[in-house]
Amino acid sequence: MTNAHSILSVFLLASFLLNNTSAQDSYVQMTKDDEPVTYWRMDKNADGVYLNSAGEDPLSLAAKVVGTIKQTELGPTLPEFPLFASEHAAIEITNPPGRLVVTDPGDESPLDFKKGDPITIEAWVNSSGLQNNGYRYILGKGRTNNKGFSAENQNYSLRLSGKGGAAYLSFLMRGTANGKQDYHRWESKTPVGVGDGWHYVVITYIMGTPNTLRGFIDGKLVAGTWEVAGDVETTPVVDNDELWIGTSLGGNPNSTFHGSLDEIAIYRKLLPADRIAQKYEYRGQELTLDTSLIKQDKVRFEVYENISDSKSWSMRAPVFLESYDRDDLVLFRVPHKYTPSGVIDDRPIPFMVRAMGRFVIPKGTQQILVRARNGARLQIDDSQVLDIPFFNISSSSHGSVPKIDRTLAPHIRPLYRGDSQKLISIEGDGEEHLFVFDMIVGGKDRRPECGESGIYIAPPDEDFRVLGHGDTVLLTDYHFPPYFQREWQAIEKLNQTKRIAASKDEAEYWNNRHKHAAMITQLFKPLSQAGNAFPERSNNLIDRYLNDRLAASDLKPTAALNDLQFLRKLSLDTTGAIPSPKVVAKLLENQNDNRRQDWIDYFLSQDAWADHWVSYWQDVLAENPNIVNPTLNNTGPFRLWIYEALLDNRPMDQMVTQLIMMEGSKYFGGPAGFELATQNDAPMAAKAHVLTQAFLGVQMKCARCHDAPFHESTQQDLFEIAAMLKRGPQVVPSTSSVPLEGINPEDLAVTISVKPGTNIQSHWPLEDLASDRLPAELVRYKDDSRAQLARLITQPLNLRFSQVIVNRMWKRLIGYGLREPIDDWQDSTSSHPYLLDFLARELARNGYDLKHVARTIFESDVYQRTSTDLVTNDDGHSLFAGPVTRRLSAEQIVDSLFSSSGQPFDAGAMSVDIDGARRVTNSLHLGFPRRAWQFSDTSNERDRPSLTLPFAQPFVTVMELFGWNGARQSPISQRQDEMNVLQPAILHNGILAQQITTLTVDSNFTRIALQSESVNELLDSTFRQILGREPSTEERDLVAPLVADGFESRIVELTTTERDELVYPEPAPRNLISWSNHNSKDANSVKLELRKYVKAGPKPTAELTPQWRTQMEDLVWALYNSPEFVFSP
Amino acid sequence: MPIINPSRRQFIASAGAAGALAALDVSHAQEPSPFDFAPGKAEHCIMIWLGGGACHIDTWDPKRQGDPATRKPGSDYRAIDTAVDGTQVCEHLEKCASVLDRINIVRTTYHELIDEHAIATNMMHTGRHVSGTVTYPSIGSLMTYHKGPVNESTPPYVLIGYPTVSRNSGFLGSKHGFVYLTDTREGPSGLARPAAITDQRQKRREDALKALRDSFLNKQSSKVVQQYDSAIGQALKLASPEFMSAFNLKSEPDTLREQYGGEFGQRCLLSRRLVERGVRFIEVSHNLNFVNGTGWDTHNNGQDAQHLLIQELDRALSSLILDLENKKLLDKTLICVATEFGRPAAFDGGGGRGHHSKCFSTVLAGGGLQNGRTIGVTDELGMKTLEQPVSVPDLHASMHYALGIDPRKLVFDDDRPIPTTDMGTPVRELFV
Repeated sequence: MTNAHSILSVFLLASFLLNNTSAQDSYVQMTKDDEPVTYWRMDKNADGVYLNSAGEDPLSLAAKVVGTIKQTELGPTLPEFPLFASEHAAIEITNPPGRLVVTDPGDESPLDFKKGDPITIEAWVNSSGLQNNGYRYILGKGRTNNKGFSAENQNYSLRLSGKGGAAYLSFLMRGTANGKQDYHRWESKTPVGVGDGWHYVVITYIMGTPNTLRGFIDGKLVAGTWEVAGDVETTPVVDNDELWIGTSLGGNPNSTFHGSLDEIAIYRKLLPADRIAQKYEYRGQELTLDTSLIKQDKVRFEVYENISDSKSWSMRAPVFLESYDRDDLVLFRVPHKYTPSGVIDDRPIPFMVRAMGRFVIPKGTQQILVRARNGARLQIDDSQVLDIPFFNISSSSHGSVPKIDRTLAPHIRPLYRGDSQKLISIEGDGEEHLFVFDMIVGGKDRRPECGESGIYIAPPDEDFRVLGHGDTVLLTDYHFPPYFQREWQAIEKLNQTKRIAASKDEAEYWNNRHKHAAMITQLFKPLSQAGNAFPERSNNLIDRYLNDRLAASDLKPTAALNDLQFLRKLSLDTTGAIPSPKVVAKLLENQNDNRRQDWIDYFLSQDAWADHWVSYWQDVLAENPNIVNPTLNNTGPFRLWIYEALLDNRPMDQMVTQLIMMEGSKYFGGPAGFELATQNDAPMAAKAHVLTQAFLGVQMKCARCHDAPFHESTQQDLFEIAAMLKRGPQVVPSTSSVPLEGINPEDLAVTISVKPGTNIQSHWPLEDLASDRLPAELVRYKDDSRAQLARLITQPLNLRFSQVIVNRMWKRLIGYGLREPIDDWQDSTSSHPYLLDFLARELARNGYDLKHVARTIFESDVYQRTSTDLVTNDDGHSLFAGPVTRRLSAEQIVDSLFSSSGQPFDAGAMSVDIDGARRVTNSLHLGFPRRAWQFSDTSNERDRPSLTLPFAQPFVTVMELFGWNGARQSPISQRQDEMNVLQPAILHNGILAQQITTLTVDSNFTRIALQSESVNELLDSTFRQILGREPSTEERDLVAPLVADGFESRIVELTTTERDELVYPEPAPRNLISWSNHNSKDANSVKLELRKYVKAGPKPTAELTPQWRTQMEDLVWALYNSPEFVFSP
Repeated sequence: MPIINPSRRQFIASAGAAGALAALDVSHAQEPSPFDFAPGKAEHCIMIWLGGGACHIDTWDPKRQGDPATRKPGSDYRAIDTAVDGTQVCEHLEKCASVLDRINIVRTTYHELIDEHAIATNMMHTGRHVSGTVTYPSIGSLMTYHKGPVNESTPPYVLIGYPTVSRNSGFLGSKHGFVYLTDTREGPSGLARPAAITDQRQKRREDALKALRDSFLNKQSSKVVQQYDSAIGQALKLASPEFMSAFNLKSEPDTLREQYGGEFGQRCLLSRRLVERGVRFIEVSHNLNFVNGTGWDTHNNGQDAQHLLIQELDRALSSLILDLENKKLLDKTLICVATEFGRPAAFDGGGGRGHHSKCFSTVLAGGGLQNGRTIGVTDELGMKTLEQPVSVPDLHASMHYALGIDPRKLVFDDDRPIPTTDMGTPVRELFV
């Protein structure tokens, strides 16, 4: 094959474009010719009334808007729909539901259909989003819940019914048959396309007459059944209630259409089938293949949307969305999609990914193995060589456990649960060939995941390698996982580029806000002059404010940290882990006077900054995703949004605004996940509590159920903010109230000023803390109460916001707040008000840049002093002679253990639904942790071994003992992590501790042991690796005997076979159990076997004599268990 | 720890405002005993957890017999007489029936959470609804918080089962969490010394560690560092044979081990050994879904082999009661058999049962209670309560009170006062 053949087919625009005058909007003409009684083309006049294009008077039977209707989407048009030549608007129905309402002119009106009346209803629908079970109204006459009408007065209605992720055409009417009133419901057996553009739906029927209902989808007659009350003679309910478009039942979200509507017409006749067929013409653009876009030695990935959710390749025109390049033909995850504000958005599910590249097929017989999570196909040069069937695993939990098959290659990584594979054998010619791999991702309400999809190649009986241009990677349990993790991370980089590009305009807006903020803060009264006590211990204004007060007491600044201690502390506070000796050595080459500033810059620029700080905000914002059946006040996994915001060093005011706006993806990491609060009776009240405590230091915990006895905030206040978040009135549920039955109000210590059931209007109750005073040109979404709340909290005149943020940072870095408790300022005063103001202004005038504040604190002398016990006076103030001694956080401990040992962070998937068979709303997949913040609670409340996560559990166990909360039902400003005996215990004998102290082939300590030329060198390196320093003479003398004995003869020469065995450790039955098969007999035993495997720990290396190795391991153990390891200098 | 504005906290404690759902004045809540009957004197609590939702009418509250094959609603098994006149249990609880005079059955436990195991499990462990503003502690954490450890070198709260958020310590903090184990042969995760670590190696480790501890304490003498260092000392003790021998079930007579039964029985036997060593609260999970495929969550064909689970429970529970009694520990040890909800009398399409929470059975035994009582009456198919409903707060109040804890005593989430139970009232008949 030559490259000249590589462009297989290029369809641009179909030929009718050249000759389209005769087709000019012929659909509209046909419709008018058939004389409907109403024809809403979604044209509106200046008053916003949607006109009736059917007759002479466009205002007769016109529709008015109630609520919000978006008019943005294009209706069906060229080139896909040649019968519509001109671009034409449609309406989009969004939540909270808006609707079009048509008034019934009265008795015997054209909208009333009695028994025996012929009716045709037609509409164009572009249905989007997840189709949960429910009936989505296109239009309905009656059943509006309007006052004065029976609730059961459906004269007729046309709807889409959602079932198992597909949508079916549905007709519903209320009628009286045999003296009994009943609903009569017809439903099509063929689904209407979802997520792939416009479809034409029609029903024709002679009202109340058996055997007359016909349904049509896209011009074709479709079969259907009367599912309720049967196809019988019936007398329809007729009254003068309204006709609604887009929703029903008073605007019930479950009855509301998802997506766009256009060209809705009602006829008082039966349109014949041939006419209906004539009105639908579709010309999709075929998928194009332009191989000239493939870059040298790259694989080009293209993402397409508008894919029908039908488990079939016979799709309508996929819409090309974006492309990116990678080295290899593997697909483990797809980059995120971003909203214009730069937060993770949902892609319409399913979507398609095409990956293409040119690869040399080596001479001789080659096996090509394709693995794919969902329907996929592979084309080599001009021909399709194989296809993989669509995902077909039931979520019922009783599936069987697959047998591990390792017959394809000597060390092959077994197939991941949920993936399918096919193998072909070809004769290689040593030439380059074009590979094109297509895969449909997600669908049927399942998460869009990719598993370990990719192309792998090998001669027979050899281990497969990844087909690609990068380094050779073998498909074995040993080589593949780190590669997978690297690829996963590489997409993270792509994501960053994408979101910065997507949010350019947004960034511009915030730049302007920050200019304004800088200007405003200049106008503030100058701060009081700082003094000049302890000038030699004063690096910046922080120290001058502190030292002033310190000098007036009998305290003195504590001793300064040396460079090694400073680097260790700085690394922990920026990257969340102790620094590697290599980095330290490199940084120490810099011995300039301002070296500490350089070091601060270095550490602040590390991506790991985000890894360290994300868990802080997870706590503060009560991020609480649950991987199984979320019911415990669970949120979406908006940790990903926090992570990305920190990675981009997004300004704090922008970040808080994004949080409050709750846009983007709910289940896949956008701030919309904050909106979720499963089984909570008033989610927005919970969020209001989180927000005021996090960003204003206003505590409303008690106000959830009653006026707080010792807080100024009332229940009314909290619910007013809740209503702002809800963008409408918020009811106080009875479950968020104090039951007063049988209680004498005199006995109450609290005030109940709001009765349950009260509807509270949105209003800003904290006027004295913050008011909305942003200049008009910076005000966006003026009428949106959420946007208003975001402005109120973050606008620069509201210095309280900045104060609370810098106080939080101060506490995290120095150990105690300038004002305490940090989340409840009502009754406290600040110990150093000028310092607090200084830092707050620094934040506000420097673009709300958290790193700027961190840098200011890192540069201060107080940060660079040795730590000390907390001493406070009667006011709860500290004088900060030095920072407060801090034990490492749970995350810092776990991350430091692994960064120093160098072993893989092998925690498996944070999911019990690894094949993705369950619905999006029931199970999450939180990825494959590489850092501690990525874990979540592992409990499933079912006590089934088959639902445990044996690889993640040891991490979670350590972290929980050190105060981490996997489940955050409520926000946490200060962890409850008092010292207890189980903390050192788990580091002595826990599974994780055993792993870390085992000298495995990939352990840094094995490397040190092999490379050290003397016992002294060995001790120096080992101490540096764990404690960041060399041993003292005394320590050296005490521990040297431990490793000196046998040091000279410690190394074992290995044969090749023995080396191979090192590379291929014992295989474990991983990735076989998911929710979909966890109730099968073998599932428990597989998980128990894995647990045993994890508990046994990794195999120690054979490169060292067992005797000496255990001596070295005991040294490593002692160093990790020294209290020095768990405290920040 | 931050110092919470002491004046306000003291003020609250003295003036006494109660928490959200129980905003009663402290003049009621803080009295030593708000009830007109005396609290119990139990020292320990063993809570046996039947995860999945054990069917009350197939166990402790038998009704007229139905038939899963023909979907005829009713109990799946025959009812038998017990040591308590007038109280019957199902035929697979034969051994418990003979010691029912040491057991109370609360037949009318209820709540309204039915859709999902997690939220009902959370209710049965914390006695509260999730609120979003407070993360409530489990009853195990609360009991150990109030009573403290029996001795300093024993962990007060041991979970034999999987760690979950509902079983954890909520706002009380990790100090009041559990030590857990999932296999009686292995001992608790993290405490047991790995097999490869011989005494000689352990000594080597501790010697090296001693050198490092001393040198660090010379440099850094903060109180928190000293505290951590002394915790290291305690941890080394905890892993020593003295406490770890509790997990050596082989030291028990074979006949006794046999009498208790399989892994679940051994868990119960271990609980007794832990009680002997001063563990305050033990939760034992009994939901080994390999027995019948679904554990107690007997939808569809999970029903077929449910009797095996019941027999296992019967054997282990009756053995535990008699064993504790022989060791003179039964009066000091409250046994609770709890589950997240019951199951309806009707059968589902597969011949199993769905979820039912309007009334279901909880068992309270030993603990120095008035035993042999049957509390509450349900209707002819066990679907509704006819007499004496017992709410979860009341159930928890009974358990706390049995251990001499005032069930309305305030605990603090930061400075927010919260009654130990949601203003529960102990069931009088258990005490008088």
